Amino acid sequence: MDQQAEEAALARRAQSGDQTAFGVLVQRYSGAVFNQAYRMLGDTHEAEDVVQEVMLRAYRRLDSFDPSRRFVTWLLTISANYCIDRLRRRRLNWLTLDDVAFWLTSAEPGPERLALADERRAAVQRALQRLPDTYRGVTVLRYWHDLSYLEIAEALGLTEATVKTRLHRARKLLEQELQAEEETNQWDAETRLS
Amino acid sequence: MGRRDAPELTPTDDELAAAEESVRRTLARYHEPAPVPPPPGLAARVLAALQAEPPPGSRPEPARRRLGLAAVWAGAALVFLLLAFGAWGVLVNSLAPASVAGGPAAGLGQLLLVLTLAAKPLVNLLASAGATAALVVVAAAGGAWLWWRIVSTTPFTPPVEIPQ
Repeated sequence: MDQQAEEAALARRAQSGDQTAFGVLVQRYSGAVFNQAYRMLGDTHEAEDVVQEVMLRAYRRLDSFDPSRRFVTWLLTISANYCIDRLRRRRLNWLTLDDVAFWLTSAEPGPERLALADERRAAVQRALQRLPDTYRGVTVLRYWHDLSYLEIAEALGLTEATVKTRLHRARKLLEQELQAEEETNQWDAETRLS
Repeated sequence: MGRRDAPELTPTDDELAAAEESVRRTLARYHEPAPVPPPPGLAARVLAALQAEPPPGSRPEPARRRLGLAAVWAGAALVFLLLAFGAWGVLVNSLAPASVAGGPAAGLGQLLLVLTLAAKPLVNLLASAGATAALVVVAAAGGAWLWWRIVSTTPFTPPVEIPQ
């Protein structure tokens, strides 16, 4: 039985109440959903919340899963749309306690910096966070999850042409951001040496 | 001028392939794409949270959901009618609500008359204070909402114990 057929069988069993079957799918794909959410939101705690919520939504809407699709693609669809919602709500939170009580802000590195020990990978993550949400979404799904243009279009509710256009533009933006990161790191290194 | 993602701006397959190759080379210099390991025990926590979830097939029947929605709309309509009824008495004719309920002499009609007459000075006070009162109320409500947004969206971080 190939993997897609196996997952369809697991989804059917989960739909009739077999949580063990759904547990297999959670074990298999919670990492992928976590990565997608982390790349989109830039925060490990938020990414963990997203995994919880996405798996809960998937469990409740198992009857809407199309067995002709890959299960991970369906999960990433739910996750991508949920992350976009969270990013929109984040834009509304324009004032936080840190802004008000700025003198209390800690100088310690956050958990994201600690999780990504490799500074070069951290630079990619920072560059990704500076991309517009619409470009970040297609970039993450294409390069980190190898979804096809059609799968990305279905996941994000776009046309294939729009996905291709955004990927094409995202290339230039990402390279610009990474170039800016390299220049900043160079300046930081020179400042430390002087 | 077309939309930003208009079809005529779609790259050709060759252009897109070249762009993707360029991105993959750039990412490879940064050892990407590479998966970030999820926090340990994430799957177990997700499954534990799902234990309390009813099986997917056992959601409330649609009829019960429709009944709930109808109750909400009925409640909203009742509140609106009560407000309109009160406004009619306070702003138009003080005796009108009482006359609908059998007259102002006794019972429900008398109660409605008392309530209408008690509300009138309050409404007149608010109306006479005018724009200033409205501004103060709006500022106070807006400030309270803003403070609630700040406090409710700030994650609680327990104090760190420093070992002696």
